[in-house]
Amino acid sequence: MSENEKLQSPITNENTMGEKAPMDLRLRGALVRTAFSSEQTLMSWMRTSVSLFTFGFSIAKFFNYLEEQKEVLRFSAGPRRLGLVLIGLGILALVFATVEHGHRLRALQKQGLQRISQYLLPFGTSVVLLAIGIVALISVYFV
Amino acid sequence: MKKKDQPQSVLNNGQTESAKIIRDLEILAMVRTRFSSERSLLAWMRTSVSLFTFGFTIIQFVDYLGKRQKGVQFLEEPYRLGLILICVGILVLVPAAVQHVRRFRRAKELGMPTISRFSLPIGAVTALFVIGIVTLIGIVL
Repeated sequence: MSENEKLQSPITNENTMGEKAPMDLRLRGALVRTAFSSEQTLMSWMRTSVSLFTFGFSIAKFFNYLEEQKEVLRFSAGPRRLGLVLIGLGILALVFATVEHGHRLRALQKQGLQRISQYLLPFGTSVVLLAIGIVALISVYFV
Repeated sequence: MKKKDQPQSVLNNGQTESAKIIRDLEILAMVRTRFSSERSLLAWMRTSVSLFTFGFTIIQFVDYLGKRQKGVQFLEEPYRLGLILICVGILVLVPAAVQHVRRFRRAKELGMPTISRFSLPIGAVTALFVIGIVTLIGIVL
């Protein structure tokens, strides 16, 4: 019972007591929700970048492989270029999205957002993905 | 400017402060809606990229097969499918971007503050669109 009470959020407590949540709490909740929403947007950008990386890389590698199988063709320029462009776009988009997420968080903090625990995870993940993208770009470039 | 305004409203009586907080809540809700709109635009972009890539791969692969075995005639159908996929991938971007811009303008009319002038999703959509068009032209010609 006492544990349950501990787990309840202040707003829920307020509701059980039949009072309206104070404005301050509502604002704080809205700020946190907005921060989470911004984080979800960053994650969405990550997914987009990853799909760009994957498609670019597989296009370039697949046709490179086909070309190695037979000594036929001239088409290796097209897929390779498309792969490079797609991966480059993914990297650029991810960099800008990460920076923008940082700006948004700072703006929210200026408005009174308190520390939420989610800083390392999104930024760390996007740095790791950036590294992967750069490796993919290099490996396509020096095919 | 805004920083000067804020302490004043705190010094005022409770009525105006709660009105200000309500306004802030509304603005934050609009910002969240904008993020959500951006996410759906991104989902459209992913869809478009996958359509586009599959189309491109089909066309190139069929091209490769055709060059490898000169006598065989099976080029027409997959080629058309690839072209259609690429076209759908490109065309899907247009209404998605228009939708996003419309929502953005509407939120601005309602008083959402602008964070930055340059809109990253619109830039990315434009880049993808240009890439798609260039590839399509390269394939058709």
